[in-house]
Amino acid sequence: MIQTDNRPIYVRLADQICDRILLEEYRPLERIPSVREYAVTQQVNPATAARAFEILERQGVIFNKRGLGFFVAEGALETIRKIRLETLLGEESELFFSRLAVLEVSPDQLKEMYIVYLTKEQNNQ
Amino acid sequence: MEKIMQSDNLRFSWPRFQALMRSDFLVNKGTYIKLAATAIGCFIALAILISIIAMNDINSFFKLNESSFSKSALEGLIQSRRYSYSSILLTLCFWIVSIAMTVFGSLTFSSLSSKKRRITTFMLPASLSEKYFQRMLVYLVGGTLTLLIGCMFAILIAQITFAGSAFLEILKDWNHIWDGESFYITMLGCVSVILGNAIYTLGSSLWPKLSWIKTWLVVMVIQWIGGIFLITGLFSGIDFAYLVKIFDSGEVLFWCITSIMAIMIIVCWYFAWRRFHNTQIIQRFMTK
Amino acid sequence: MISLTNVSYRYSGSKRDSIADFSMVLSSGKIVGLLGANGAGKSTLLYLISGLLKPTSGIVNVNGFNPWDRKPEFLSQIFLVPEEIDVPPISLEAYVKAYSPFYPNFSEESMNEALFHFNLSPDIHLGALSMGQRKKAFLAFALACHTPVLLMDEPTNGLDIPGKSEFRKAVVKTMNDERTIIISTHQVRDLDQLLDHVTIMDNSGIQLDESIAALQEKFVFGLAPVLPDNGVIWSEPVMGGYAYMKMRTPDQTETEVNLEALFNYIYSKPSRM
Repeated sequence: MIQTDNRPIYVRLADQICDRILLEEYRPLERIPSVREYAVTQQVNPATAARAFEILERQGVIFNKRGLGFFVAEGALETIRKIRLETLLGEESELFFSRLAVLEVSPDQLKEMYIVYLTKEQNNQ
Repeated sequence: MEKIMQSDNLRFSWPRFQALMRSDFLVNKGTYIKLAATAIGCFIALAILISIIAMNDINSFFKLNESSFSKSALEGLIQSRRYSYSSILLTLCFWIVSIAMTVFGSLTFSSLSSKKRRITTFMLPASLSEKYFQRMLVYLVGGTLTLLIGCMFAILIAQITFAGSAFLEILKDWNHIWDGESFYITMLGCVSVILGNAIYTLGSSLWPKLSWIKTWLVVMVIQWIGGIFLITGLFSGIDFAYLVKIFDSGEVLFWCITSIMAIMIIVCWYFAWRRFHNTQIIQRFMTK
Repeated sequence: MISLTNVSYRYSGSKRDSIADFSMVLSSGKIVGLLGANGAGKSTLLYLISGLLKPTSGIVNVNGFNPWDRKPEFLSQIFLVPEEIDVPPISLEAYVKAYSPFYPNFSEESMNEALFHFNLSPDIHLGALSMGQRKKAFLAFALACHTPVLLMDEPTNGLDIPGKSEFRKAVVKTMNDERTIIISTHQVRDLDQLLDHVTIMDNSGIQLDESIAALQEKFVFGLAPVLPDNGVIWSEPVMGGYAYMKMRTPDQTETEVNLEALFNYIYSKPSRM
């Protein structure tokens, strides 16, 4: 199966933490497990886990309180959504859009397809 | 634990050596008990065997027609018979000791017999001197003590069975080995036993696997070669009578031979040390 | 720090060097994967680092010590888990009593914790265990010694699946900036997420010696139904398409290192690096 996630572990780990924040497992201003704890539970190299935390800190998703550990930033939810949207509309859509363009799908057709999808999802709930 | 690491920089550290001895006993307790039991068992078996033979023999004397012998003559006969059996027991005990000491010698470096055992031996955080000394202590000293205990058992059993009367009769008989000329022969015997052990200890360091047999073969070969030289010497007219004359007395001869043996013992121990020191985990290409 | 400078080793009776003119430097705080085909000399390298073999030429330096001197202070700072472990038929308690005094950082707590995760109780008798359980007990002891240098030769061999998982956790737990762990293995999949650094060896020497981060920067690894038309330096047909390797351009996003692909790439072009 070609679907395997090819991204480096530190990226996937950062993503996983973001997922948990979005799912409100970790709430803003709450403490998240330490680098070391994460490394152990995920069975990855501590340096790799540290790199994931570094990225999240740089993106403003988490912040570090010296001696106490890492905490979810106040506006983390919005930050994560913004970053993910950027990624989705950026490189992740490149391939999709390029295929649409080759098949000569118009923007209106695309809009209709999205409306059909959203209606279906609403009916399922 | 702290105590051990304080003496990190010494080649020999007493607390660390104690820990080494303790670890060896904890790990090899089973083997040591089996060895000691086998050795002492041999002595006990031997003593029982000789006792049975002696008892049968001496008892037969009591069945002799008392009129043929006076009481004192009969007692004299029994005494001398008992003395013979004491001597036989002593000789056989000596042979057990000699052979056992070679066996113990050949086991001294058994911890080098397989690759995984060599890894354990050399990775243990103690100095090589300590490791070497520990093996010597266990097999040479420990072995000797075990065999002496075995002899004690032999004496005890023989005492109970065929000595009959006074306690320590056998010991008295055996103590004759220290009288007069016998002293030198006894001492020579003791030194040669230690030499036997030293030769097999060296053999153990050179060939940890199937050590006893390999050492025995080498010793045999050397003896044959030595014998050939001796015979060649005889035929080429070396005057051995003259050589004997140099030694005014047995005493001087004794000291010469003992000194040579002592030197050989130290040489064996030295080369065993060298070999132990330079053992690499894999001796030959592709061998386990 | 572990350094080898122009180290060669030749087994007596062999016509060629097993390891020829090796040089490498490893700073502490790393988990290093040592990969290589059978007979490439991985075990030889581990034995040279632990002082079990004397280099034919060259210098080995481990934290300031020459391993071949086999000084007790050096030996108490290093622990080797060999491929075939020597476990005497005694109780674990006796084993710990025998050997733990020699390792100043030994922690009984760590060992009991590791045993718990390996599903073993502290009052086991080593002679009564299966091969896999014996290995687990030995690993628990080795990790509990907390030596600055830990060398392991095929540690996951013989471990069941939960055991491998617990092993990974235990290795991560024991790791810190002063520790160096070198794991020699064929089972890359068991360990690839643990490694900071990879060394790949073959008969003619070290062919690759890089940190994972550097490899992520240099190469991209991918799986695709069709191979990209340019820049592919190695590929192999797999289920669903091709596994491939390309040099990475700075604008490309980093991918995870596919150690099996990297290994096969190195072995297909021996004098590449």
